[in-house]
Amino acid sequence: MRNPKPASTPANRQLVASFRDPAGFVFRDTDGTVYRQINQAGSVDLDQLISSGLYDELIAKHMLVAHSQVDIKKALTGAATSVIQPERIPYISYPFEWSFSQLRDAALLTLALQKRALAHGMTLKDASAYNVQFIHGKPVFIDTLSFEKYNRGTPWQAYRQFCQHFLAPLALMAFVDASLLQLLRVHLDGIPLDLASKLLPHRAKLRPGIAMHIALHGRAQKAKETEHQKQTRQVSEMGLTGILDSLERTVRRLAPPSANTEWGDYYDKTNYTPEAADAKASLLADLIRPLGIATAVDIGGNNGRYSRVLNDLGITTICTDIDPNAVEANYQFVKHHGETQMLPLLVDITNPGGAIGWANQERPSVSDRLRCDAVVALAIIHHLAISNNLPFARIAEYFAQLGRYVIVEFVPKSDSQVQKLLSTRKDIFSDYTEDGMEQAFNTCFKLKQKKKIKDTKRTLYVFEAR
Amino acid sequence: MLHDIAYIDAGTGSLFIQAIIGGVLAGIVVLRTAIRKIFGKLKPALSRQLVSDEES
Repeated sequence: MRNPKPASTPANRQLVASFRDPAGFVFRDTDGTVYRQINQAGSVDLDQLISSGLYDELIAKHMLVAHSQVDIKKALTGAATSVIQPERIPYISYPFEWSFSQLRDAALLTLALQKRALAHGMTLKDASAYNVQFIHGKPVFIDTLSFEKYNRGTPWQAYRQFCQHFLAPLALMAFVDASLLQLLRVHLDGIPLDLASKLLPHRAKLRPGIAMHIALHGRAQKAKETEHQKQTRQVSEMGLTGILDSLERTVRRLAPPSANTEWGDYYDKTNYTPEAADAKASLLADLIRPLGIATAVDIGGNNGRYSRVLNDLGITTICTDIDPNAVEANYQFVKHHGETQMLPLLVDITNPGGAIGWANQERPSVSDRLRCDAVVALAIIHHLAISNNLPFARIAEYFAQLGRYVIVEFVPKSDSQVQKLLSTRKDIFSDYTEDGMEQAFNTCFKLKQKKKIKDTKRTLYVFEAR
Repeated sequence: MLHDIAYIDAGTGSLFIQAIIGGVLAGIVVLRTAIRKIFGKLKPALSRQLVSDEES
């Protein structure tokens, strides 16, 4: 039996992702605005971050999320010494949803932050990949309370976390398989280094950086420390610089996996003529423009070809795909062209990431985070309905959870791509017709528009939630 | 039954290994800086030498 929804209390307004740090936490006000409460344990370090000039430097370089000081009356508990309001982050994504280069750029940002922090007498106390978010196409560090005073001779507390969150998954993707990034879904604090070391081939360990920071490091974690070792736990500043330089070199030398995947060259394998593809793009723009929406999620958006039609209309778009190569290609395009309204993410919509972490609440599910004005599902409906046996009614219910408008491209059975799918399975999909889809969607949506795509057998639909 | 390993803090070994790796890499940083300095001093002298060779 379900308990009734609890009333809003300080405990449940605190965002669970930040409950581990005694220095402060993030919480949502009753109007939905996100604030960060600073407690006594974090106030000195925050003051040093500002007074040392590090904050201004990082903001000028777009490396850290900006914040403004607000009235302490906003504080959620009596332990507060101040309250800040961070710049709004449009969408929270997780490292297992990133491409290789997204994770590598987040790693390089973390190392660059640590180097700049050391130059200002500070250090990063954690190096979690969850502290990085992609804002306007670039990685930005979001945890203002991660900086603390650096005491000469102390090792980098976040070294292991950096290796587990960044180096291990990057090395596994580069040397073994891109899909091993998904180990981050299981291991909340990064991939254990002894596991990464076991999975990596010997040739990977010929690289000094991998040998030191993963293989040797992994072995050291199992060793019990002697009193003598405890006393010799000192790392000079030169030593820290050496470690950071070595980590940076190791990360930079890792190349994205280049395996051929099913969808990597998708747009070379479609049955569209170039004219039909252009007609689809133009029809899509015509259908979406009147909706006046600001955000969209493109499901199965591949390398972002049609998400960019939305970007051209000023719509910020999360372009999801199941294929790491497609997401990688999209991110490379975003970087190369300095795009600010596109967020490529690796998401399998038939099995979107669930909520993970403490009490299944620490990291919310994809479905809880992926709320937009519109859902765009182009040439994906046949994969959902036929390849995955998902009834139209279920697809409509899920889409209705994600956005107010849904734009669907219906691909009929007579289309060569659907015939290809049906050639290897029994056709048990008697309701896979335009009428069948319209009737099933009718429960959650009302049909706004329906137009044939020129030179194809396909139809574009616009539905609006009831 | 809890295994022995559950009582070992993985972070401890991590701090210890940093001391070792840090020591080795500090040496490399010092060496690299010294080489850069030497080349930095030699470079202008060498280019002056090349220019005078070309002029003569």
